[in-house]
Amino acid sequence: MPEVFPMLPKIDRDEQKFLADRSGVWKKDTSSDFLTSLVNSLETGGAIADIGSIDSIPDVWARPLLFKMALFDIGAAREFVQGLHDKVVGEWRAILAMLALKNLKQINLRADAVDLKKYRAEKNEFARVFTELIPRESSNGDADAWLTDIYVIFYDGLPLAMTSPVTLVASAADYPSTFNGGLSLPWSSDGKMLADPIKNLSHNELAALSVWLKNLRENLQRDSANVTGETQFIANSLLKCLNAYQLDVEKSLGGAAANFNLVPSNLKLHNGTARYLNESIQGVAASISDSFVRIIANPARNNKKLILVSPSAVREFAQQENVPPARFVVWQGVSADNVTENSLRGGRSVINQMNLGDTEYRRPEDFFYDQLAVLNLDAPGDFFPGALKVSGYDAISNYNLNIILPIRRELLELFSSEEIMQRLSFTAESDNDISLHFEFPLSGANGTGADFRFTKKYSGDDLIYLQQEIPVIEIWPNIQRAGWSQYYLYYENTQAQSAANAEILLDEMYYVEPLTYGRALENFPAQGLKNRITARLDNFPEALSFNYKKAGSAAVSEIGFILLKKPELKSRQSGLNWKIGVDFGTSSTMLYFFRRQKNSQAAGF
Amino acid sequence: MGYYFILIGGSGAKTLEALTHLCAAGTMPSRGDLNILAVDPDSGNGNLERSSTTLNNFAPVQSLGVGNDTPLFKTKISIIEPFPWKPVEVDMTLDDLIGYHLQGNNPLGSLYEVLYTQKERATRLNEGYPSIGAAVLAKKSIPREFLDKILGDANRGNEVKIFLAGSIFGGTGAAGIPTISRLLRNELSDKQEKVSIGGVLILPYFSFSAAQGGQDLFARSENFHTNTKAALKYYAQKDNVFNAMYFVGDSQRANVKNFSVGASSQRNDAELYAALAALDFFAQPVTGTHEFKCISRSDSDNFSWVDFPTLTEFVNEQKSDFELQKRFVQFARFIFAYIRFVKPVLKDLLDGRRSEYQYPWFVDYFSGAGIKNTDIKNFEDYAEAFVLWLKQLETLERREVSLIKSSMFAANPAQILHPDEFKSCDGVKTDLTLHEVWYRLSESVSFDSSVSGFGKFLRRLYDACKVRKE
Repeated sequence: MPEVFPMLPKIDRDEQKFLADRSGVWKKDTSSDFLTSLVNSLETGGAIADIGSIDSIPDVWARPLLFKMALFDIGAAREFVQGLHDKVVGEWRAILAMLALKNLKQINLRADAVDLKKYRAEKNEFARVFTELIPRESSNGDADAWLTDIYVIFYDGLPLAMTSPVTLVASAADYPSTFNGGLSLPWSSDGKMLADPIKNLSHNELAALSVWLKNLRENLQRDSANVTGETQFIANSLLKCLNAYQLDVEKSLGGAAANFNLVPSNLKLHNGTARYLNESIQGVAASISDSFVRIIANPARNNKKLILVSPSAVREFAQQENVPPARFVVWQGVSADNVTENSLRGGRSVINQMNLGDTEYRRPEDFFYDQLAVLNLDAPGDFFPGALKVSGYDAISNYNLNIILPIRRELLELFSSEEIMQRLSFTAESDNDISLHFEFPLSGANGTGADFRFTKKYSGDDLIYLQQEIPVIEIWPNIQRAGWSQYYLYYENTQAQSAANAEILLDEMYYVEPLTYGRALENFPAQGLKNRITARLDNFPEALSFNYKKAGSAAVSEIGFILLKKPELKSRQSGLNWKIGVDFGTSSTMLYFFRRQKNSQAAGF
Repeated sequence: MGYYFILIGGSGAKTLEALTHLCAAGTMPSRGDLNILAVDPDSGNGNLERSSTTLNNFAPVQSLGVGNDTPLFKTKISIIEPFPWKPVEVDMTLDDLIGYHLQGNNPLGSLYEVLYTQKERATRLNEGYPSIGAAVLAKKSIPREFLDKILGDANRGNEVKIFLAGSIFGGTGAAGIPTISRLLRNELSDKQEKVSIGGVLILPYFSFSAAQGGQDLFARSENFHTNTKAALKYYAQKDNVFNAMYFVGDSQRANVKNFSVGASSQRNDAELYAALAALDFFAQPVTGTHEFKCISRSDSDNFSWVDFPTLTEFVNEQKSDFELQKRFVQFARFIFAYIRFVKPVLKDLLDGRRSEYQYPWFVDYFSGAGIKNTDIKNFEDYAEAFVLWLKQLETLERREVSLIKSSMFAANPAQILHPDEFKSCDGVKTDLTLHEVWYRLSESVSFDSSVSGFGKFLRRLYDACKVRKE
């Protein structure tokens, strides 16, 4: 047989099927798979940027039909368009997962029914565009499925996809432009294109998805039990895709799926195979106990439910915990990847549009002041000898600085002074480059607790150098004893001015205020506007709040705390009685005491 | 038999150009009329413009009295108005056409937003885009005159053969072929036994670097392959409304330089095969079968006469086969002989500026015959168009084409450069020199009454160009 060449574009397999015995003869073929053979034999084109690059499907329904071609391009035959199958599978899986987890992740989905049959009966001219070329194929053999079973699916109010009688769902032609980069994980890695969400779903979500897919597959299997021909091909292809999806989910899950309930999703998908998409995994009441970033506070303190969240903190902690950010549960339905500045704009009880109920989130930096007050000394030293010393305090003292701990009051509502002392530390590169570190005790990925180290740098303008003379701060007595409830705080600023004109002081000023968790402060001058204070307290305070007024400003604000050492616990010595006499003189005061029947002695200070 | 040819888009228009010349050469299966419907929303389609010119040149020629017993001009081409049929107004967008903005916020509007991109919706419809075109055509109806003609034929008991031609990797053709064929099938659903629908799907055979002028929606050649596969896959999965589908393309895709939307492509080979596919389809009986056809050539780089199919015709209802080469070459010689020794002197002879006695054929066929200058002008215009088309066919980039010797002639204006090559212009040695043709013209011949006027001369010249002995 002479060699002949087909008058066709490049063929790279099964060429004989298209060659006649000799040239110039129309080779006739009546086999029904001729076109499929031709598609498979034509040389594959290069990879395409996206599904939108294929614009040759001459049909109003080109988008869902192309979606089907690409999705079902499986099996032994190679891809008819390089890379397209994978892209479409990603989109398909993402949309199905959104439907499955709608309730669980509180996804803002809506569906509008498009009853083309009704519009056609009404002779709607607009509908004619769609009905004139209406496809007749479906996975259940219903030739009218495209007339009755189409729904448009909206995500956050924008059209994202449609239901399809052949592929269940198909992405909208223009969704990348519609969402304009606003798609988030786990549905999209780049914000533009939907992608397979498996690697970005939490363990719990994967387990839920697995249950949902199994249910969907079983429903479709029942539907397609007796179909034949092209319908059978569609049903089998669809089931293969679902099966592959479920296997991938289970592989990633690494174990058996837990029990989940399916409930109506309120999308009102009632027709055709779309009705199987109407069920969603039932959402369970979100609980702070699910969160990997729950702050484990001192149980004797405030019972506020707090989670520690910021875009960087949750990602760093996820990395520390060796959990992919997409699977790191910040809140039920919110992964570390979902936490962005934008997602935190809804107030402290909302993340990524998820309401946290009675839980609030805090950023790590919320517990610390933005400025660090330091007492600038002439020489290294410690002017707060009765204060608890956090790690690094001494090192900073070497720069002739004593730091006022820039912690906010809320931290003391969560942790005791001792706990704070153990978790707080400082390092310094220089006298104006100081870093604060705090080890937040969080629940962690395993629920067994893990510390998250937060670091905040103070440098340059972040430092307040207090230039005043060192204040006198005394609390007396420096003991604790059961039943003892009389303490006195004395505070004196050597630059003190009269209380009368304190409000208009032009100079820098600061004062302290005693703080004990759970105890109200009584008989203390408002805003400390006395430069010399003697206050009677009913307990030995655990901290002193440090309040500061800038020179030239009338506003006084808290800038930190001094944590106090707990005084020694003393027990009463039985039979030990003192008698004290005080002579309040004009030039000096004398105090004598009399103990155990001995002679009276002058008390020296 | 009623023949209907629907050309869709640029490639379809070029197929019409080839088919017109093949009709002129008498290669159609029978003498029935060939009705042409042109579908193209692009008024700037250079291919259609050229095909229209060819058709307009040929239209008056076919009424010349060359007789009913010759293949020459045997098929009458009839144009269906409007020509071309533009389904949409120029500069209209899809949104405009379907009245999207009048829909308000209803589910149909949402569905529309899901199915089309903003870019597609805002693209001018005359730029061609398959899925858009499908929507356009779905909203339109086949021109009534065309349908009435088909129904008239079918109602008279005639078999009706409808053939569609267009590319499937571009715009208008890709949109129109499946849509129009399905609309036709629906309209003619009760005439199935009388109506046969065929089509040629022209696959990629040229490429271009990029559409100029930022027309980013226009199909780019790097996606031709991908789009072709997608379109074929679509056809494979839809109900096949075609009784016969022909596939024509080329593995060597010549680069079309300076491509722009609406420009005229400089290649004719694929469209010549597409036109031959139409001839093959028209020659087949109406059946309810579904056939797929493709053709091969003998050389991967060259074309020659052995690469073209044998054709079929019906003379007095008797089926017979004939070689395209013989009939086509006779026609080509007829055109070249006219150009060589008739055209240069005819006007002077008619005006009396040249002596008749030197031109016995003039004395025999023109003197006192009342031949109109317009007839001569129309034929000469057609001859120019034919030679131009042939010249482009013979000068394919990266291909050696051995049909009519390219060295023999030039186009625009048409002329013979090497008269000595006339006798073997198709590579076959004959004794048929130009001198021999001249000599034959002087022979006494009688014709029946259907042969008259300028047609009589043309008929004589055509007959004189037949090779009697090889």
